[in-house]
Amino acid sequence: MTANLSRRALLGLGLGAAGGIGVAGCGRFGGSTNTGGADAAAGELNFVWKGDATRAEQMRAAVDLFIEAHPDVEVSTEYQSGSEYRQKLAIRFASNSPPDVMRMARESLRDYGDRGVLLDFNEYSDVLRTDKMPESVLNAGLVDGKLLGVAGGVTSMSMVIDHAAFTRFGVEAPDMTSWSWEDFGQVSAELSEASNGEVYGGDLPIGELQTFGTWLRQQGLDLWNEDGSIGFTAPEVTPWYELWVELEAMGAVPAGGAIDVLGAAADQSALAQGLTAAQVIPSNSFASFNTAAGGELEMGYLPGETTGAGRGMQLIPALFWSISSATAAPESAVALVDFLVNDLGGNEAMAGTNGIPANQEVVSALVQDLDEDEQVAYEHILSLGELDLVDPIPAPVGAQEFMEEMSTIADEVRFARLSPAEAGEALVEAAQQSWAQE
Amino acid sequence: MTAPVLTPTPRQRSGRVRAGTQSSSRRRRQDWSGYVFLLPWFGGMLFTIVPFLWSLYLAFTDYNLLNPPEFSGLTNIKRMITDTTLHHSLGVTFLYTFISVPLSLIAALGVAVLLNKGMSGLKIYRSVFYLPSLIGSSVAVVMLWRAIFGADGIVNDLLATLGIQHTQSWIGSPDTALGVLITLNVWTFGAPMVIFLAALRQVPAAYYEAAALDGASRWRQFRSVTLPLISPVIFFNLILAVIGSMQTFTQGYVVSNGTGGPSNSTLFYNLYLYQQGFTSFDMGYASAMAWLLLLVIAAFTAINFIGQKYWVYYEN
Repeated sequence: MTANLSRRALLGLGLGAAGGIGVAGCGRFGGSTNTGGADAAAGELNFVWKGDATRAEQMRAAVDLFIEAHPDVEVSTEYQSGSEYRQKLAIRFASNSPPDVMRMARESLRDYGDRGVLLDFNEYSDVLRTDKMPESVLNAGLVDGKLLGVAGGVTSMSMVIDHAAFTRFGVEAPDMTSWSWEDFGQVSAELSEASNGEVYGGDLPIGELQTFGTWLRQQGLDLWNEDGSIGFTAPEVTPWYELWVELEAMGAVPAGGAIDVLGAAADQSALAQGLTAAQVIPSNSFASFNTAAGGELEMGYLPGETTGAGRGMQLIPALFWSISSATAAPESAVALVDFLVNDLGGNEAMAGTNGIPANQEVVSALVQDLDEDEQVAYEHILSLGELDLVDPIPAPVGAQEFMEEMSTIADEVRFARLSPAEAGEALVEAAQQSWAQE
Repeated sequence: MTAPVLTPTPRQRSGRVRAGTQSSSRRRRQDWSGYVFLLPWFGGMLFTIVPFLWSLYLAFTDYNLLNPPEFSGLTNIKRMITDTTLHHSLGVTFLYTFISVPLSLIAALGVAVLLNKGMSGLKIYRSVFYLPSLIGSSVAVVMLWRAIFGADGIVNDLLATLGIQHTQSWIGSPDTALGVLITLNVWTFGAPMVIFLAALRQVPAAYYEAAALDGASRWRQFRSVTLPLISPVIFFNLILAVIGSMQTFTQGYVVSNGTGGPSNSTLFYNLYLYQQGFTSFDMGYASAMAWLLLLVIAAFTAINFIGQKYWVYYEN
């Protein structure tokens, strides 16, 4: 009886039976029938992104402006927050009803790109204007010479310190433009001691990919090379874990299990809970972290940025806009992405929710009307753009899996179940396993 | 898969006794009603049997959700044999099952026996004890437990007032995180408790009277009268609890933000399966894992059924 059922029908049935995986509650993003690009008439676009209701209002306002300028195009929008977005996107593709335009995570671009399901923007260079984007940001969306993602915004990983804590415990705040890892350890330990253990001076997320990448580049290495090979060896990453062990012994950072981080959101962070006085954050989230942590944050470089073999910080795409290669209206879809990236009004409507606009002209025009915290983030990212930084290399397939492994290995180090040397070996092995899965 | 025919088989008319038309038609009606009650199940089967078989096929493929599945033979099976993380996650699930199932059954039976004393306000107590089961595995409660067992949680505060300095988070440490989840699971003993309570009500009072006349102590009565008579119900609860806890997912997912951390100490088998399917997009492997879990649960259930003849007492 299954012989005459297509694969698609099977999947459709499967999803239906699994309790409507694709049809979650609010902000449905489940690919109801006939929203897929493959079936849509020309001029009808289905556009999906990841985020909360606030972002949805901003995004929808931008889309409405686009529709005003392109009355012949209809755009249906859906959104989803948290990790569900990734899963639903995959299921949309699996059930042959991918969205036309979608948000694509940095770490997933190659996962999709290598499987041939994304449109190459290079074929529509007459519709998409990229001349106002920094070269490195544009190139981050290249996979094997095809432009599969256009940066929807720019961010960087940066360190913030909470001046309120330094003032309260009478410790002099560090100079974040020139501090070394030693300085970071000393000043953090000093603060931990001055607060009598109430607040830890700093924290070092040894399981976080971007922070680790920053440290690697400071040593003149990188996470991965252009050809997808691993950019580090076990002896080279051993010091990364040794650094944490040393910081923990000094009392500069919390020991394993000493604090609970509730989640990724700003108000759930250790910084906002008053457990630490420093944290690594994505720069474009400065406003929400500053609000959550009491308004006295200062954003600056990660330690070791000027004292190592090279600069480690990078301007990275906060997200990519990608288009399904199955879209029925490629011209309109590219026009929408072009609008999101280059249109002043559209970017004004989005209000920096997706990071600093990638278009430098738009940034200069918008920087006047920002509130104070957004201005800090803008200035910070713009100042990074003036430095001689290493360009980001697109993540290889399996980066997402590697991130999970990396976080597990970090736990093992924090609870002294692995020595730094063993952790180095384990990390290289994890990289080999994650990226070997072609 | 042949669907049972929904018409009762015509009964052989016996030559000797002419069955009254009334009784045979009534019997036929009863047959019918049985099938009518089964209808929803058949309806459900239509929706589940296809994905069920589809996942069996996927277990032997390499399928990344984006491209059509490619047949890969026994690759997934071989990978499961060497996948140390999978073995670890099975270990976590077994440990959780072997500790939390007996504890929660003992707790359920203990409370049921106490409630069976026929105290006043029984209904209220019954509801109060049942409450955790309604909400126990819900996300909100697991979040609450995170607050209770966190580094600055209520438990550590209580210990501090007793002079015990425990500053580590109970759910943030690999040695204790699973213990917290086991405790949470034991706390939700309401469903087996209600079933035990019903079973205790079924035990004839005459047995207890006879035992008391023979000078049996309370404990002796419980051991020699109560336990044997409710053993089928204990067996029933055991089967359900084992099947349920083997499939644990939510608690581990919520308490660790989906990572199974710290250091994979809460990486239940189902959570690892989910990660394979939805983080690594390795649906073929995830399907193979799902079938392995089915076989493991079937094996445990079979062992329980074989073992029951040594301790379960059926009166008839």
